[in-house]
Amino acid sequence: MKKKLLSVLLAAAMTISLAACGQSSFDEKGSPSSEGISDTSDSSTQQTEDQADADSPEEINYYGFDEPTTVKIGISYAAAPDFTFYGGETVDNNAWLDLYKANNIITDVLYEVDPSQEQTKLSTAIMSGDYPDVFSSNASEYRNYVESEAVADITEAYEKYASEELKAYMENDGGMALESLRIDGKLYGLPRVNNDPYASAHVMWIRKDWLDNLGLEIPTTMEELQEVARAFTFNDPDGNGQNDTYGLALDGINIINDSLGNADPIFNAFGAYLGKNGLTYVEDENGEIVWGGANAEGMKAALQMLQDMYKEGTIARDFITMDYNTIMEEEAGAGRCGIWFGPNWAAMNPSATATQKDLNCEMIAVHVPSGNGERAMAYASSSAGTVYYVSSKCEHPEMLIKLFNLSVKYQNADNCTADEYNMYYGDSANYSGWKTSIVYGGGPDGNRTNAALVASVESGNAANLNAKQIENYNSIKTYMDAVADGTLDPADSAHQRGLALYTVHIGDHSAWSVIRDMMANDDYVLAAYNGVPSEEVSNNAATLKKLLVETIVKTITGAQNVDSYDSFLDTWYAMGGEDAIAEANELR
Amino acid sequence: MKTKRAKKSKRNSTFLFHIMLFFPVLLLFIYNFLPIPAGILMAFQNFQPGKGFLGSKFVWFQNFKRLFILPDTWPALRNTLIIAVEKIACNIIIPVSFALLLNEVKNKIFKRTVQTITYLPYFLSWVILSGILIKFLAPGSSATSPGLFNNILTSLHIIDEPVYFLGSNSTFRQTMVVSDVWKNFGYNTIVYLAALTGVDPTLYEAAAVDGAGRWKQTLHITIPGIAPFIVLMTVLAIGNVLSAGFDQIFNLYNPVVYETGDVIDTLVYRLGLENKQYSLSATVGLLKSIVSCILVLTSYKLADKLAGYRVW
Repeated sequence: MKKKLLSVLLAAAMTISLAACGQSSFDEKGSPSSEGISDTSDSSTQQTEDQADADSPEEINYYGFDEPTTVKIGISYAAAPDFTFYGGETVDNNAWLDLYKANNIITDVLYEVDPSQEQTKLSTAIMSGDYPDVFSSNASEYRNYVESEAVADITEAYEKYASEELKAYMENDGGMALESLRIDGKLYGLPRVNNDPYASAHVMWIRKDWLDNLGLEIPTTMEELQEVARAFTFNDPDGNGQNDTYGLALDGINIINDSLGNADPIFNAFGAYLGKNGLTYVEDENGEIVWGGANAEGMKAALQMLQDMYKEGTIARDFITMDYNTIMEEEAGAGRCGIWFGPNWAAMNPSATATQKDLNCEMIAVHVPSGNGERAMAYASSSAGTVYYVSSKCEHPEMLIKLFNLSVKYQNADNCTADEYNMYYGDSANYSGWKTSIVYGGGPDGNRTNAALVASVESGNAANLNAKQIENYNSIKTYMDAVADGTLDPADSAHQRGLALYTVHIGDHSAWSVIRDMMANDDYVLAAYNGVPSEEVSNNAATLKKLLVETIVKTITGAQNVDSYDSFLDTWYAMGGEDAIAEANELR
Repeated sequence: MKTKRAKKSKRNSTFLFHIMLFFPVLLLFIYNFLPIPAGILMAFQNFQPGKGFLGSKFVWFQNFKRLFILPDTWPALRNTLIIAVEKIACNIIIPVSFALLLNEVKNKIFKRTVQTITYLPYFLSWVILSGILIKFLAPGSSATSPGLFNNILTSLHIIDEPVYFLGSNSTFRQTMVVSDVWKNFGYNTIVYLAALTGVDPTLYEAAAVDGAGRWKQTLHITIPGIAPFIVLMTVLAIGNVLSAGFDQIFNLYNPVVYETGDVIDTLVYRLGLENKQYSLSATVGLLKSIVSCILVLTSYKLADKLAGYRVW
């Protein structure tokens, strides 16, 4: 059981890292698939250029130092339960260390800790005054670190030493994450740009086989969704003669969970946006920033719908004690519910589990139905996730920039040769990979991966795929061949993985087909403000979120009237929401 | 000469006990006493991990002020007190009664079996138990039949409709108390059973000679005999009155029952660990310690007065 959970988490993490991405060039050209395919063919010329760059002596050494220079680091990857060294590598001897050494960067390990203790160890080290030169934290702590004066101002170092590849990497999200870290124009850290706002949009997952059994169409409006949910609940969609199914699965513990069972897409369909923390910034018609949940009419319409559904039983009566794990394993995984909202990987595990019970099970991704007559939009924020810092005690603040340059060069299949990429990132059988690097700037290339996979599956030619993509391609191929031969074995883990990846990538109803469609139609409401919140605002965030989820869940169960949303709004503003919005308007 | 040796051997044997005690006390000192000054300091500072205790700014009572305007504080305090007091009361009455009943059972095999079965839930963590309880107490939905407990109750016609024990503000606290008692009463029973063996059997013989029946014996010999233990357990429990059971409630509560289920510890968790407001959550912790300290001292005085029980 534990093992199973772990593998699911790993699979999910892998897909997030695949998908959490964003090809910026897509925004400019608007055609992701052609871009993605041409990418691979262009890459050979690009590589030769890169190599020429690296070989020719230049005024500025972007990747290292002329004299051996020491960087103090803390290591936490080695003790991680999901980490294994490959190819005989060790903490003191691996491909990344060799690369650093070749660039005159000598690592000095201050401590090795378990990842769960990393931040505590770091703060005690900072308190003792002897701490790593380069380290990372969650972006929510960025202002704390800046205030604590433990980190250096890297504005100038970044201007001077950032390589073209690094600058391009930072542009993956239009430069939003990087800009969000500027305080009075000054930069104190560099973001890991993996939080692609487009790829992380949620889609609606629905049981296609149930729709077919009942002769129903894919719902495109929320009224139709209610109809379908009713049919799923009362008309025995799985045809087993038992009353053991229902319509919509929701995570009642955290209703805006950014995972399976999220209700935010439903609010989105009615023009209200709560995001993953409940604090969103959207622009109103006057150009002012307002809270995404301030649209009381939209929220009330959505809540009314959910309340009705709860009353008639198309939402499980006990959804309030379900979290996303329950939904993944028991509700969707056991074929109990027919509809749920979630990210692109949200059917990976449920499809593999449910197929074991019912070979005809087919989970497809579709666009979130419309609530108010317009296409449902998704809220896209690019605030930074992980931030890398350089210590204020370090003599070479450019160290961070150079390490980042190296990472972006060798962890992105576009910037280096296939051999290099495999050595530093891709070939997980012979090298331990990116985790042994100090800074991780791995490729936001989910869109490209998807495009390449789709093209290869269509043509049956995998020659252009990189190491990472080939693994995915082979899994999918195994599954598709098994389906074609009629030899699909739902208990076979290789088939399961293929099926899981298939729901993400391949076919007209994969998650990525919906996301590409959303990108083509510009179905996104971009965050009007991506700043890292001030201390005061983040202090209030937990209280505000608790109030929000409490109100939503209580309204759905009917313990509160839908109209109580108005009084909730008053309380929300009074408890710190007003300050948060004012801050965004001021600092945008 | 003889007495000297006796003294020496006594010292030797207590020396071993002290060695045994040393490490637990050391752990207690490191984890429970050392952090106290830091915690107190933090409550009066705007603590920044990067700056440390020396570099962080003193804000004196600002955290306390914020605490009192925080809308979650009072409900959390109220819920904590209600849940904890109910738990303490039930965790004394039920194990004592159960121990007394078990003590009357003469069949050894039956007695041991009952003891073992009731003791078992004590070993399960709340993380596991919460999963079991959620299923066991489920009200059922359009897709699933009600959980076992609701099934039993409805088939016995005790209730007409399945009750959502964990999803309703009118039942959540009671569910917490009952499930906590169910988990722990086996363990507590053993404590009282041990106390019961300490009651002098000649007293019962004398009472029987005087014509006292079972009930009278219980009332006048057994209960007074174990009263010091009951008082001791109560005093110890009252020190924990403001810990209404974090792991239980955290694993079982949900947004609908925040109103009646949110307790101080879950609040501290949300503030400190989820929101990184170290100082504010240290303030809540400090306040909790002060109140607990007052309660312990009071109950100690009461124990001295009522039962003549004292440590020093």
